[in-house]
Amino acid sequence: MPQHTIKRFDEELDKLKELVLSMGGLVERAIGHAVKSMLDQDEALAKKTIERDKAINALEVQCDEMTRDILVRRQPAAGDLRFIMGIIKVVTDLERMGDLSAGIAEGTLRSLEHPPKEFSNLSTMGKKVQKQVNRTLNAFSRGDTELAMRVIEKDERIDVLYKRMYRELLTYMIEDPRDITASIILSNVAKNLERISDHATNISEMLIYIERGHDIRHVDHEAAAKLLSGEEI
Amino acid sequence: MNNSTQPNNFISDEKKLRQKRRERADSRFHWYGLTALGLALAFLVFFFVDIIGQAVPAFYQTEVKVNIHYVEAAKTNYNKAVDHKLRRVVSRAWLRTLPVYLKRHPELIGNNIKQWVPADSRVDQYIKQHNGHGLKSKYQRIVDAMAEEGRIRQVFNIRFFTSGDSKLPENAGIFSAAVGSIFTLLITMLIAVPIGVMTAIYLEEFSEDNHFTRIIEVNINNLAAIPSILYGLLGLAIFINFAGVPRSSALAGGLTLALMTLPIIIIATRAALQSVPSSIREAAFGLGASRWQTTWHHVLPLAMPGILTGSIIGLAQAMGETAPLLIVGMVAYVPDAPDNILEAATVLPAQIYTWAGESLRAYEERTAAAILVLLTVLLSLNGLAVYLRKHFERRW
Amino acid sequence: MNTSKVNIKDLKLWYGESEALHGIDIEFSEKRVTALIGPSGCGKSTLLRCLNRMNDRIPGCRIEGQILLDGDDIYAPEVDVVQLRTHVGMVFQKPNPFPKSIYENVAYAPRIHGLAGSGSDMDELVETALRRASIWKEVKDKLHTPGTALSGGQQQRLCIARTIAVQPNVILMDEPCSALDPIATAKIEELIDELKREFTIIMVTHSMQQAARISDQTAFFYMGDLIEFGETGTIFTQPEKQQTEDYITGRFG
Ligand SMILES: Nc1ncnc2c1ncn2[C@@H]1O[C@H](COP(=O)(O)OP(=O)(O)OP(=O)(O)O)[C@@H](O)[C@H]1O
Ligand SMILES: [Mg+2]
Repeated sequence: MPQHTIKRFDEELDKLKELVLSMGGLVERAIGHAVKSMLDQDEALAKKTIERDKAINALEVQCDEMTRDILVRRQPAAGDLRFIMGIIKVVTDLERMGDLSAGIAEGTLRSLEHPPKEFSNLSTMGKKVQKQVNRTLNAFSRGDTELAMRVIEKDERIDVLYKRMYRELLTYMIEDPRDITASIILSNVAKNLERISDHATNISEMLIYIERGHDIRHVDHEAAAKLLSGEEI
Repeated sequence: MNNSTQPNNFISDEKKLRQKRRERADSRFHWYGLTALGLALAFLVFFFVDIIGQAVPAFYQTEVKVNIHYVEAAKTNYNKAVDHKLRRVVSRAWLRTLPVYLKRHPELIGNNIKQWVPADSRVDQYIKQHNGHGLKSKYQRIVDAMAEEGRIRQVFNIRFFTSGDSKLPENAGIFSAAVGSIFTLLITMLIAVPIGVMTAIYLEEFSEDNHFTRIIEVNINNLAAIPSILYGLLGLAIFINFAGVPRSSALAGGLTLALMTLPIIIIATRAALQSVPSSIREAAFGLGASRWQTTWHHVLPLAMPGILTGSIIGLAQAMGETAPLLIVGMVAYVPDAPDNILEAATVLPAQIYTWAGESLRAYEERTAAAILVLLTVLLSLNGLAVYLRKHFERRW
Repeated sequence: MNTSKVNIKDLKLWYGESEALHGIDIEFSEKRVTALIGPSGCGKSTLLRCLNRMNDRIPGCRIEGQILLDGDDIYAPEVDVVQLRTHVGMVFQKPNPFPKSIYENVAYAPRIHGLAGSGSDMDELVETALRRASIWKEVKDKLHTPGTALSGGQQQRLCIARTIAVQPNVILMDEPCSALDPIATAKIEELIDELKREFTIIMVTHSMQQAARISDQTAFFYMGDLIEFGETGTIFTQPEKQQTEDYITGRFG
């Protein structure tokens, strides 16, 4: 895309994007740490993760200020407008993802008194969700709508993983009522991971809107794919 | 943006130097301008003082109080009406009118009346103490004696305005020349203004921009720069030799001057039309006005001050013109004011030209007086132009 | 509801040797506001001036193609330009009231077209026009003072009143607010919003924001070509053509 006549505008947009990506980086790391703290029952790591969520919140505020400034001063249109609108939503999603990661770390702290016997496939799910987030951020940084599409498709597998884990935890609870607290904590962690993946999906959908101008949030995958491929011609 | 190597100093020495130099240059130009203006003003003042100084005496006529013998013999020989020694003192022009006067008033015969009568121009000039008055010393003594007795006075010279040219200077006036000027100018105005304005409107508002109109434009601009005497030749060829207009007539002069004024009026009108913003035309066209409506309702009223000024200045120039009239025979001895535009006539500048060539001292002051009158009229015309411009501009 | 009012078919226009419009096809809908945008010199004014044949006055200007107003070709030989201009009014970039009274400004066109006599008929017509241009309140006490003594924004509304006094169907506006301050601009925009109930409005504007604010449809021109034409919302959020996108996001040149 050619440069804006007003160079400052380009700089501001680049800066904003950088800011969002660094926020994404923090979120990605927070997810990893949160899951790790659970698996390792690492109190210190959990506390650190909760503490670091503040940085994510601060970045959200900073991004909001920048978008507001750009709206007022540049009155963006078309692609720029979609970008700004998208950023507003993406930032909210990222902040929520940060909160959810902090929630997982809090789960870790609670689970220290009720250590779970079994983590079910939390480790796998954690890796998969992290991968989703990582893909989303890559797609965002490159404007790669195909990758974003893959994230959206893969979200279903996370849902499946979550449901499987939930059922497994349910059987633990039935088998041994003493495990109930630990299992509930674990199932909440799994729920948070599933929600994080949902937010990653939202971001990917937003990216497609930013890049292509099609709102695919509430259409099914095939229709979305069609819309996008129709664009390709 | 910010050039940190050069301190942003308003009052460095170098800048002060530049300022001084600039101010010196400014004041130098100021003085050049003032000098030029002063010179121009000095010339103007000199000219006016000179003209007025020369002209004022012409507005006064010396009269002498003498015995007029209303005798039968005076009906045939007017010299008999005054004492022999006073014959050169009393105006011959006045004496000449006696026989007719006596015939009309026979009851006066036999009377001997002491009355004020116009003095001879030489006496007049002598009384006004002008060099070269030409009065013989014998008469000088008589006049001196009369002055002693209080028999000499100066009165306002009404004749200068009411009579035509004359070979006797004390009887010469500008009346016929003024009438000729008015006739001539009226004709010029009636012909040059409508034709000039219409031509300009056509060229400016109606004609297409093609080779033909461009050639016309160039020619009109060149015509304005042609020496005016050539218009006289043109007038002579067209109006007198071809169309048979009487020579020396106001019609011939007026037509000739119209030819000369036409380009000036066309150029002034076009400039006035061009100065009307085209947004006004667009507005009118946009509302569905025709070309003619647009021009007549909107463009012309706005151009009016310019057109009037241009026309008046053109006419004023025509009024001061002599050269072309020389050629069509309007520089002539015309003692009686013309009654119509076909009679022989002369105009003020031509009258001035004629008088300037006369040898008698008395004509000299009349020349100056006529120049003063002409100048007054021209200045009034220019004043009128300024007034009209102001008046029309004030309306909107 | 979107019946076509003006239909331009393959319009080409030359100024002497140079082609300023290269085959424009566009349809303007009735009682809607269409904004024409594009970089300077792309032919917006030229197109606009074709619609009431103001280009006829320009020597060496010739056109090809068709412009249909309600289905009739406005360049057909039997068309009277004067009549056409009473159907298609025009408001110019710089407010250009006649240097006459406010009343005369509005009454002029109805008078020359014989729409009203001079008595109370005309008074009524003038009042209606001034009211519809929402300037009546400001000028009702000084109808006989010069129109040129009004403020720029008032002058422009006076010009609009003057244009609608002859009841045109279509109003063309060439950058009507470019010489006005934001308040006056807002008043004109509000007025345009009112006027579109009765008139089809086609306006050229250099302000993208203005086009976005008041137009229903937007057409983007570039170097004498119509690049994109569509609903304003679409054009300003997701234009189809890269050139349009570049232009409205300020990435041009
Ligand atoms: N009277 C004219 N004679 C010759 N060429 C003209 C004339 N008017 C316009 N043009 C040319 O036609 C092209 C389109 O001009 P036009 O005035 O329609 O542009 P525009 O889109 O209205 O620009 P702007 O936004 O600056 O008003 C330009 O290249 C211009 O130079
Ligand atoms: Mg234009």
